[in-house]
Parts: sequence; C-alpha cells; structure tokens
Amino acid sequence: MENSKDLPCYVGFDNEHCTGCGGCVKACPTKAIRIKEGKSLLLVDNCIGCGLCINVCPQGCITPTTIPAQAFKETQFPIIFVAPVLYSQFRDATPGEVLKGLKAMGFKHTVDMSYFFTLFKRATEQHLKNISKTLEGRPVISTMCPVVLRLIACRFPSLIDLLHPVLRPVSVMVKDVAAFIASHHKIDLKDISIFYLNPCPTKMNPKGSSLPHGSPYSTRAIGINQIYGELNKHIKTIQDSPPDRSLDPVFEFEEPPTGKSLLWGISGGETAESTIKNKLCISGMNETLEYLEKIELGLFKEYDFIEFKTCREGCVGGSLCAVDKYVAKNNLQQHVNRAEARERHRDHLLKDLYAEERFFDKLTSSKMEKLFGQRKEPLSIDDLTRINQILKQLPGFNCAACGAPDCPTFAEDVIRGRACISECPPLKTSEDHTKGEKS
Amino acid sequence: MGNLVKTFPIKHRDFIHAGKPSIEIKNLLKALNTPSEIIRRVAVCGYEGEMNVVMHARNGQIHLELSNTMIIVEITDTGPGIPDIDQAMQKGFSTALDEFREMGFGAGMGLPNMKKNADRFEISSTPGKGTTVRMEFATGGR
Repeated sequence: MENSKDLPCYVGFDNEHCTGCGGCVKACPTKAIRIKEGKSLLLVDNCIGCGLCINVCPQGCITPTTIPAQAFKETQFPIIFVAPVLYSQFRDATPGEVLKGLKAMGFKHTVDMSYFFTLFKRATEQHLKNISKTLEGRPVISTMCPVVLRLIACRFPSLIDLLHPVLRPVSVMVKDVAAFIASHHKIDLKDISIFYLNPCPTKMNPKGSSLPHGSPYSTRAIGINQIYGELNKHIKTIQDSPPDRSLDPVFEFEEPPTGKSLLWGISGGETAESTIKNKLCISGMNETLEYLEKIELGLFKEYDFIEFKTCREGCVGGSLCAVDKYVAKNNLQQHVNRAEARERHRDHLLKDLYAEERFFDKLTSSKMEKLFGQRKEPLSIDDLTRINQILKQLPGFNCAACGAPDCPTFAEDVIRGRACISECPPLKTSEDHTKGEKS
Repeated sequence: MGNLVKTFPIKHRDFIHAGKPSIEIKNLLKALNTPSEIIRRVAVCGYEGEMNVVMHARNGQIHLELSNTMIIVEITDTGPGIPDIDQAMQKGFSTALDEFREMGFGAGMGLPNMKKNADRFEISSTPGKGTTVRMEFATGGR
C-alpha cells in the first residue's frame, strides 16, 4: 500500500492477535482500513482519528497512539488540559474534587478547557450576529470536534466555506496559558510539558503539536481510561482527608466549571448556554455523515448553527472514556443540578479579545489540507468507467471477504493497483463452480 | 476517452431515497477532483430536480453524462407536466401539497434555483405526459 507509512496514524494495529474478522474495515467511515492475507491490517488513505475501529475490534488489537500514562511523572513541570467530559466519569466526586485529584497525582496545574470553550461560544454568537444580515454562509458548522474537521477536509471539501471561522479555543489558548504559567512561576517555557486528557484518539497526533505555528513546549495526549483508576484513588483520599489548600485552584482557568459549562461533553452542550436558537445538534458517525451529505445538497440553509459530534451522545461516547456514555450523561446532569452556576469570566476581558479580533481565522482549503492531511489521488473518467465494469463482474454482496469494506471500494482498489480482482472470494468460488460443471 | 453515463431511477413520494442519486453523482465528481464550487452547484440542482419528481410527478429518472469538459444532468419524469412554464419558473410559485410544505419542501424555489446554479438550463413539458429538465455545467477540462 503506497504512502501508508507517511500518514498520521491515530491508531496502532496489533497484527499478531488480529483474526482478520474485518469488523474495523466495515466500521471505518473513510474506508481507510484493509485486511490482506487474512490478518495484516493496513491503513490506506485518510484516517481521521475517530476511534470507531477501536470500539468494534473484538480482539482489542487496535489501540490509540497515546503515550504511557506515567510519562508525565518524568517531566519537570507537567500541566494538564482537561476535556470537560472528564467530570462525567465520576458520579460522587464534584468537578472541583476531580481537578484536585489530578494535582494530587502530580500535575502542577490543571486547566479546565470549558473555560476557553465559553470564550469560543461568545465568539460564535458574535459571528452569527455578523452574518445574520446576509443569507449566505449558512448553516455555520461547528469546528469543536476535530474528527468532523478532518472528515470535511477529506470527504466534504465544498463545506469548508461553512466552517465556523473561529480558531478552535484550545489552539488559541494553550499558548497564552503556557506563557502565563511560565511567567507566574518564573520558569522557562521549555520546561513546561502540556498534556491533554482526552476522550478520543483524535488529538493523539504522532507528528507532534497540532498547533499551526509550532510550539516551544511539548504537547502530548493521555486517554481518560489510562489514568482513571489512579485518579479515582486520589479523589477518594481527598474526600476522606481534611482539606489540602495546596490543591486549590490558583488561576481563574483552574476553577471547576458549573452550570451549563459542564455540558460541553454531551451532544447539544456547545449551544446549551448560548443565545443561538435555530440550531441542530447531531451526534454519531452515521448521522454526521448523513447530515453532511444533506448540507452539501443545499439543505438546512435556514439553520444558523450545526453542532456535530461524531461520537454518539457527544464526547461521553468517546472510545477513551472509562464510563458508559449514558451513565456519564446522567452524571453530568446531576453535577449541573447539584452546584449553583457561577460565571468565571470577566466580561471586559472578553470584549478586549473581540476588539482584537483574535478568535477569527478563516479556514481555507489549503490551510485545511495542511492541518488535516491530503485528499485522495483523483481518478479519471476512464478510471470510473473501468470501476463500473469491474463492479458488473463482482457479486455485489459487500461481504468484505476481500479485505475491502464493500464491492465499490474493492473495485476502486483494483483500479488504484492496491488489489487484484482474483482476491474476491465469492467470485473465485463461482468461477471454480462453473469450471467444475464444465469438466 | 469515452464519456461516463449513468442513470438513476426516482420514485414518486419516496422521501426516504430521495437525494441518494444526487449524493452518488456528487461522489463521482469528488473522485474526479472536480472543483468544490461546481460539485456544490451540481448537487443542489440534482437534489432540487429529484424533489420535484418525488413531490409532483409519478416516476422519473436522473441521467448523468460526464465528459472531460462538461457535466450534463437530465431529469425526466412521467408526471402531469407543467401547463405554464413561465409561471413555474417564478420564485415562490409552488403547487406543492401542504404536507410537503410542512416537511420543509415546496417553497417554490426549486426551478429558479436550478436555473441559477446551472451554466445552461432547459425545460420542456407536455401536460399529461411529463417534464424534462436538462442542465449543463462546464468543468473547464480535466
């Protein structure tokens, strides 16, 4: 398979234990996986890091490319960026206790990402106000879920123009936070290591930083399920001990979220506390694909905003979560009900940031390609005609016995030189059968 | 170099499968690396045409012809036909049933939208027999 080594792989395959069942091949929304010679899994084209293959593999052969959970302990000044879905993983611990637990584990500072997501939400409202005078540019598609961004870059390039032209909050803020913390402690930026605590493999970019400008500090990702057990122990200890002031939040962005800021991890959470009324919140990979297709046909123009989460129910459905998604969803709602909502942001700061236009950044096709990988090599009209001819010969069972997810993809593989038509088992059986009848 | 020709059936009142042919056409154009702006226009026209057949006609088909310089989409149906084409081409004119409007369709923008998005647009209709809409899109060579 050409190029497969150069592509960013969000997942790793364990060929030794793979039985070649093909579950991952069928599950992949970008048709990136093939099985060759009964077992070896191969990655072709664009992996978008959705993690669906991880979930379906019965052998557990597919793993996200994370770093060992303990690696942060060897760094000088580890800071952890917490995806708000983390709080959903605990029923009896408050968000504040969860953040303290991370500090007790050894992280110097915790950064609650929903603090920045709220800024993103304000920027979204501002953008919708700006475009409300025209009818073009609708529906605005949210850029919060990185898998959706890659999916659009790889399968729906005509929708790039509809992407919300606001920088993803983490890309804006991680830099500021690192600099702020470095100057507060009078340490060098190089000594800071940033870790993302993630519900999905998508931020596990093996090429390093996902920031377009490069960064002076290192950024790495840890899956929630990698540290869940240890964190749980620390939280229990905190709950059973007298208050330890050293674990308290120091900065505004370390404070735990309250109210609807807690809901970012579930579908609909992005707009739960916003003034955006005319919106659709879609979750699940199949649903995301279906609606992206429909938007490309010109539908839903009357809607202002569309939130996509490729994991069912939102980030709580991520493959690196430790707790069942529906349980997690209930936990979050309990947290919201339990604590009184509090505003963490100072309004004048936000207004200054708007004035500087610092959130706005139009994603162009070329920028998308640079950030999210190349699209497939184009085919010619002759290629398409030949694919049609091959399809007519194939049985059309879409059985995936050849190692490709379906007959049309197999036919395309043949034309691209990745497969040979004799690799179709049903075709071979029927040919053998015909030969047998003749002799 | 031959042209690629494909025909997809459209069934009256089949809202479940409506849009599938246009999606398939869209995917063929994507495989050819057709510029996004052209794909968008073809997709919008194909879908509007499909919905017209689903809502107003009996059965029909969408016929695609791809060459190196041109995309031709022709939608034909065996419906009641359009008695006054000039009137049907006016923005907001619609004979869609209330139930379709409730579903979000039938705003009377279909034909004007198709005309706007296609590089060349032709419509002919015989009352009692059916309607044919032919649209051409220039791709500027591949």
